[in-house]
Amino acid sequence: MLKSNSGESTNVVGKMVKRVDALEKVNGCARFAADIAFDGQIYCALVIAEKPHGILRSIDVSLASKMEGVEAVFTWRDIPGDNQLGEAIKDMPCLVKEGEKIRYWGDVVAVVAARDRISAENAAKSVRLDIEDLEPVLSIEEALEDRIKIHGGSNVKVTKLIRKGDPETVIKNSKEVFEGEFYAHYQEQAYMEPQGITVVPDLDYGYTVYGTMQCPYYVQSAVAHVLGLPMNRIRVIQTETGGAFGGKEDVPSYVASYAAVAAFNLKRPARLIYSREIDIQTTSKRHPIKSFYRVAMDGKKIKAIEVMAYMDMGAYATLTPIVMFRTLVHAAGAYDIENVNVDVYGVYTNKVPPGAFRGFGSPQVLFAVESMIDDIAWKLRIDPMELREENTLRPGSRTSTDHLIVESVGAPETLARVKESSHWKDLVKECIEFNRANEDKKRGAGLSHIFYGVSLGAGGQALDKSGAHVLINRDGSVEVRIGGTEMGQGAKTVIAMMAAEELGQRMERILVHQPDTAFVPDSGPTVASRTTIYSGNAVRRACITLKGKLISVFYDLFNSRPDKVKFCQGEVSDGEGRAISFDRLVDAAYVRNVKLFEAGWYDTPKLSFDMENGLGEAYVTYSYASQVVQVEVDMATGSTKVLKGFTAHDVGKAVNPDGVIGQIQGGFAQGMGYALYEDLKLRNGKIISDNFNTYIIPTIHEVPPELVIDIVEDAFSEGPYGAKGIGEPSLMPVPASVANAVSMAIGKRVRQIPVTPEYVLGLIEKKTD
Amino acid sequence: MLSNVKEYFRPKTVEEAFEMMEADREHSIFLSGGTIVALMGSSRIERIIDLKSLRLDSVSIKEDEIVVGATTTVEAFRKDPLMRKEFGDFFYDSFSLVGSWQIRNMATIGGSIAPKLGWSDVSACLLATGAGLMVYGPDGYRRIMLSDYFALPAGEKPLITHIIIKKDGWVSAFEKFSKTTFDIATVNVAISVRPERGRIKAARVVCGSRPQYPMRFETIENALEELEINDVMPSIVRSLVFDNFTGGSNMLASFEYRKHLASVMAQKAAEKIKEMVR
Amino acid sequence: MRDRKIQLNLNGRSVSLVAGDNTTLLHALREYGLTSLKRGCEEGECGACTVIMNGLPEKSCLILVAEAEGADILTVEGLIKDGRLHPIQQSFIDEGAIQCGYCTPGMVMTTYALLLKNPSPDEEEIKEALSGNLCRCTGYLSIVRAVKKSARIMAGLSEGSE
Repeated sequence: MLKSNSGESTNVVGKMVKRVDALEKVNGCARFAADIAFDGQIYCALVIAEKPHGILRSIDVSLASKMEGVEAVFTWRDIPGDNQLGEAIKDMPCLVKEGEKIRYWGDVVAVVAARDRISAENAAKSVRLDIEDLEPVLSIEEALEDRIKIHGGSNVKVTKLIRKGDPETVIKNSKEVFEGEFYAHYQEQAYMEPQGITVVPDLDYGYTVYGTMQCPYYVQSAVAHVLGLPMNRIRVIQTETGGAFGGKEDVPSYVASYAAVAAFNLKRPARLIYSREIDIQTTSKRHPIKSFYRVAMDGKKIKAIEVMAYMDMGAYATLTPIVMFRTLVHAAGAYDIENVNVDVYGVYTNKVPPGAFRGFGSPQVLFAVESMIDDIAWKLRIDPMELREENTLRPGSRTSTDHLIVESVGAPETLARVKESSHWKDLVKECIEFNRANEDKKRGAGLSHIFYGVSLGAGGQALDKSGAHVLINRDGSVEVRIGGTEMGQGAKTVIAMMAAEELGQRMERILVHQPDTAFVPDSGPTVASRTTIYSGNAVRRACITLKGKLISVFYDLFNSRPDKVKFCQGEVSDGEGRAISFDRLVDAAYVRNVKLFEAGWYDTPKLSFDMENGLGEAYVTYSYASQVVQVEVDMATGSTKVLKGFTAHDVGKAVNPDGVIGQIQGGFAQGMGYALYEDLKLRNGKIISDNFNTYIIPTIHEVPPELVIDIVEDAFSEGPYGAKGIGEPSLMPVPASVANAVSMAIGKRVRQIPVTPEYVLGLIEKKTD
Repeated sequence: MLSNVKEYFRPKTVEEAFEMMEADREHSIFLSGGTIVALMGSSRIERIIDLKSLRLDSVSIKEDEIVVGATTTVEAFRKDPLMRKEFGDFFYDSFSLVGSWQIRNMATIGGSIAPKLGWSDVSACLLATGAGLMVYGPDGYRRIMLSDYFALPAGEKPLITHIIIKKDGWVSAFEKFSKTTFDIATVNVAISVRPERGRIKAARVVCGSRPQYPMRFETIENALEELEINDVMPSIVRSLVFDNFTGGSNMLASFEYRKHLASVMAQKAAEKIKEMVR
Repeated sequence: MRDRKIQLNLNGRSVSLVAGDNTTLLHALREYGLTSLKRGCEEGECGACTVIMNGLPEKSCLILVAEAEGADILTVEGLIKDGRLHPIQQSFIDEGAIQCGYCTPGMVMTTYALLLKNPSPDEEEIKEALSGNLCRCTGYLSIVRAVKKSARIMAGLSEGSE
């Protein structure tokens, strides 16, 4: 087991530093997917079905192929390998074949290759598709009827469950039983940089794929599969990525596959950059989830919980089975409950296939369970804070999957911190007094308490490992390569800090390269808030080995005791007057022919989990967060404004405190968007809110001027310096706390996300709840 | 994306601009601020006639009227010292949420009116101030009311050269509801009244983004005549708007919600007017 | 379609661009090599394409290149003098106001235009100026701090030079 080094004082880790990748982003040099160009490149455009359900009878490319600037139009016939995308369940074609089904608006039928983007897009519009219409399935309810079967078998394709204790009996015998029904809608990731990939025939007679992505290894595997080539012919290099949030987990594999078909057939670089409309219309989203809760109480204790959750997985399963696992584990909330039944169902519909989005199936059920707990608190006249304090997970608790958690359980602390920073009781009183004195505006304070299973969990162990490569040049400059990607969340900076900490070299002399599958083997996807732990530990291992070698050289020079040698900020000394700069020590190593590069590897601790009953060690560790928000609702229009936010996050160890704060602020804004403003609209299976004029995300005006942030550090022994993860937990508590705050303000229970003004007005005007 | 544009013109005079348009109306379009034209996905448009070269971008005063050149940007109009002197903060505040700073630096007053956009805050406010337009058509220059311009038949498209706002001492207020500051109005309301001895002598009541284009509601305006400007007035305005609102449903909102919002916004605007008159 | 030759003053240098009449300024400048201007939505919403045109911030995805004839255009590449970052660029780095970086050039240019017109804006004025620049990563709080810091530094610099 890798020593976590938590508790020991550090020189770099935990300090305020500047991002290592800020300079290029601010001086205009940063190279995003659309900023690189290759000689002879052609531009691709997609021909999409533009119907929700049907049978593709014919594809007529005759007109399009002859248009100005067009090189070719490619269909399924031009796919050299397997016409198949999608990892977990192989139900998705790359390009739809004649005679096969169209299952959603964005199904791709052909790829146009032309000399410029306009010509490609014009030609794409001229490809004639003859589609025989079939009645579409456009809701979870319709899907459950199984009257129209989208893939042949039942539309309920995937199910998962937890059976812990005996909730049925407990509920039957309980005097206090509460029920609730909730719905959380789609959310669009709305990264500022649209999808974009260029596939280039390369020097090794294979293909190099450049583009915006989170998972280079997924892309490598998908392109190899579609081109019918061994993986050793496909190299993937990530370009600077302008936001992802999960929307670039599996989707770039699809984008790359379409471009690869063109590159393969033309033997020229093929560039495919999505327009914002195509991006929103066709790519993955957050899953809509309808959930039903039943909870039995005994005084302040939650004795039993039953959950049924239905997830709309759209036309193809894509990542849904994995998302469902997370929904399953998080559905009962961050509480120690003896009796738990959870059933999660993934159903096909003729709409866009949702996938990964910050939280990955958890924000929707956390909103639901937190609303239930709040509702119960009201009905039992208990302070919602007290109800959380009574039931929260703590060291020694068992989670909903009966996972005994003993270390790094900062949940009680996050609750305590937020209770204090928000002056919870006073805040509630203040809202009540305000509401007594005001009719046209009402205020509410909402609490949420969440947890998050870090990394890929019991179901994803086969993917959960990471590599690293660390090389020291003769001049002392260091090159670090990891498999995890930077997408704005600060991965490069955290890695550079850890390398600087372990090697003792100055941060300015350390370069973290863009991920390149040629250097570091499959390190798993950059998801699930796992990069700090997994790539971090791999880097640390490599650095520790290298440092050991440098210590031997130091001994060779000065005869110092190895355990006395200290590396710090580019200087190496033994505390007895013998010192040398890092750079000169490296030079001494170089002339002694010391091997100055090392590979690092970190494999996930093994988890024991019973998939049939949903019991056991679901994740290697959990992050925790508690949050309070205060809102003001305009009772005439139903519009909600967030006035203040107070949030506490247990991250194990904040390796880069500035970065953690940035993630928490950003996650708050994005969570607020989901809670209040982002309302994806569909008509007959087509997404009609397909640009920022209709899909409204928060601007600088909407965020509250104050967000009080508390970072709790309850060290995780496997995590580098005790660190866990923050990427997703930063968003997850927000929809729940906002919904609870609005519920308090209007005195009616909010049961859907987003909490639109029209919905709130409807609740206000309703006679009963 | 205007995929078939073949020609781009910079006329020197209004007459020249109009003639260029008449030469091939079907395939031509006037460009002013550019915020609408650049978004048009059309293969029909082949000729762009840029009106900015006409330099119709000044704001001047002529007796009791303010004359605003049609290619004056929304931001320049809003911040113009003459406008602020004559109309206080009405236009300054009302237009502060039009698009964004960048959009306001590009979008022009004339360009906001000409396409008859339903959600235009600019059109709603100008309609409430009883603005007139100087337009150039086949018979030369003529002056029409803004409401007349909106009522012109589809084929008639004179070129707007100036917007004329009377300094008539009326008091105006504008309110809009949108999901965020960024979004276009779900509905907007602009009200202008002529106060006389504590009563509404006459009024102009405009609702826009219904989702259809802004319209004056004469029934409401007539009902407000002689109404005392007191604490009850705003709720009377609210009921009148609720009862008389016409519009429809779309992606943004249902008709019922819109109607409700319009009445609420009208009440807020009426409150503002009440405060200003006191 | 005829290609047209446009003359502009780009980041302080007189430059000739050749482009079709339906080409946007965004596209033309990116082709020219100024990739700091980003394509985020192509309909004037996100602000990632913001340029300073004749002293005012505008959205280059909505400007036809012919409209820019004779204009003064400033982008982030033109803010750097003698290899040194502009105080606004440095403040964005110092205040942690950059995450993925895609909105950053647009934010910096709008900030530049704001401080040109209003050297000491209050928080409301900052928000009014930047509401047309969307950011999905930072939650904006660090950006507001960066703008305030920029204003303080630039005020200090101008005082120093007097």
